[in-house]
Amino acid sequence: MSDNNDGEERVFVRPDGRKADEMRPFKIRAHILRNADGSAEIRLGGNWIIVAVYGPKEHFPKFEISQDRAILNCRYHMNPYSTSERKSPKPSRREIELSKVIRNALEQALILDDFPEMSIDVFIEVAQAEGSTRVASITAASVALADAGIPMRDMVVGCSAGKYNGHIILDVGEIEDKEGEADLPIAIMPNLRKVVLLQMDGKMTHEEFKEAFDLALKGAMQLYEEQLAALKKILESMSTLEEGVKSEEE
Amino acid sequence: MKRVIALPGVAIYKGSAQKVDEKIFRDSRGYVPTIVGVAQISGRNIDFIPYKDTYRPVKGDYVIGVVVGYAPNGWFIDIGSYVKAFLPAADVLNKRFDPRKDELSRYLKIGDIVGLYVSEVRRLGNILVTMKDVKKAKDRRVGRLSDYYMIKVWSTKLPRIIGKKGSMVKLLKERLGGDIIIAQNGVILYKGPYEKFVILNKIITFITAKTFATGLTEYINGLINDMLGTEDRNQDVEGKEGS
Repeated sequence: MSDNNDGEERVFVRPDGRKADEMRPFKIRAHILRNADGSAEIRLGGNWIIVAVYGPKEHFPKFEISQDRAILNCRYHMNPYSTSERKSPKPSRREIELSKVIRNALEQALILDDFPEMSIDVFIEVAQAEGSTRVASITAASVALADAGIPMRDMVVGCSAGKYNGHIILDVGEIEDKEGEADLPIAIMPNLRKVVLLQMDGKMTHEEFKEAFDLALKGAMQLYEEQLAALKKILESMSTLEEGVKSEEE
Repeated sequence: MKRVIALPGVAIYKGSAQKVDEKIFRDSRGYVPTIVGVAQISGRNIDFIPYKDTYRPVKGDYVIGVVVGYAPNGWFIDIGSYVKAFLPAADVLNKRFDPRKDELSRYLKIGDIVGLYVSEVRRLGNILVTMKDVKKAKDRRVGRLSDYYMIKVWSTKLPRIIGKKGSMVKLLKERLGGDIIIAQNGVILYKGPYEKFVILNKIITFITAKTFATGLTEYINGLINDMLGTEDRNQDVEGKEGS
């Protein structure tokens, strides 16, 4: 941050040294757990989230079943060691709300009519949290659902934008989330061009909102490419007979 | 023939195709797969090999299941589908079953492995199976199957395990000997020496991990040679040491 008195404009630098439109480093891996039907992991900056998917399977209790479609159960849970101060492992009001928000976002992409009277369970465990966990969870959950072989119309990918010190920023971190003026998490279906999650906390003008939304879309597309790469990686490893020795063309 | 990696939501073919798998839908973007897999496009036909897909029973399928529970008038069988199948007691006894006079565990106990045919699928949550041998196929045995080793795979991997015109399963039977039964729900049973079963298990794990690779049968032949070869050598060494 330049702090001169020459009348020059101050250069805006974020708490972690990123540019306003820069994402934190991210990595997605699919099929990381042996026992779950589908699984994925996302690392987005300091966030580390693991998602496991079970199902479709018989739903219990029977009186809850839906005759024409599967029920999607979603649990977002922050581990006690995920934050700097120990978090009680019991589901908080926030976690219950996020579970519902994530379920609503994913439900729109899944073809649940294929599985009447069944249920699909999505377990999201936040092992380490550093802001924007809800969008990171949606991104990872979508990969885990694809890994479980559950039919989807499109992938779901989430990203957040916000306002910090009067600047519109991409991929809101922990400090920016706490001290910033606003944050805007979104989730989209990139190919169908549909928004499946849109929340906003704080205040932004109409123009600022538009700018933040466009920025979040840009970030989401970057994450989407990573999602596809993670899924392609599994299939590519299944297409070669020996890892790195004999490729399909040979 | 063109092989394309199919990912949910990403169009793989534009134009009008003749034969399309049910896992692929069509909209303004073209033909879009709903699950992860590999699509083979040849002419106007799109074949699809899913990466993972749970077994969906069809009437007449040969399945192998495990007895997991009792109902008043029959057994619940786990056939690896979304729900458990029901085997009516009257089907096994060939007469009316009276729970007041007879005991189900006299015929089949929990944990028994049974070969069955799917007799009815009313909807996903209601699968009926029967022990009546309707097709009388040589390599498909119905009833209780004892002393078998069991391997479970996703049913979508079966075409690779069976191979083109049964080439892979023929190879496995020739090289490993013993008795191999393959059911359509992805259960593979093997009766033979334990060492051979370990080799079979390794090979099947390898095939399921390399489902989309080409030239698998030849490669597996080499692999079996290596495994059997080392085994033979070990025996030779042991024999020499003993003498």
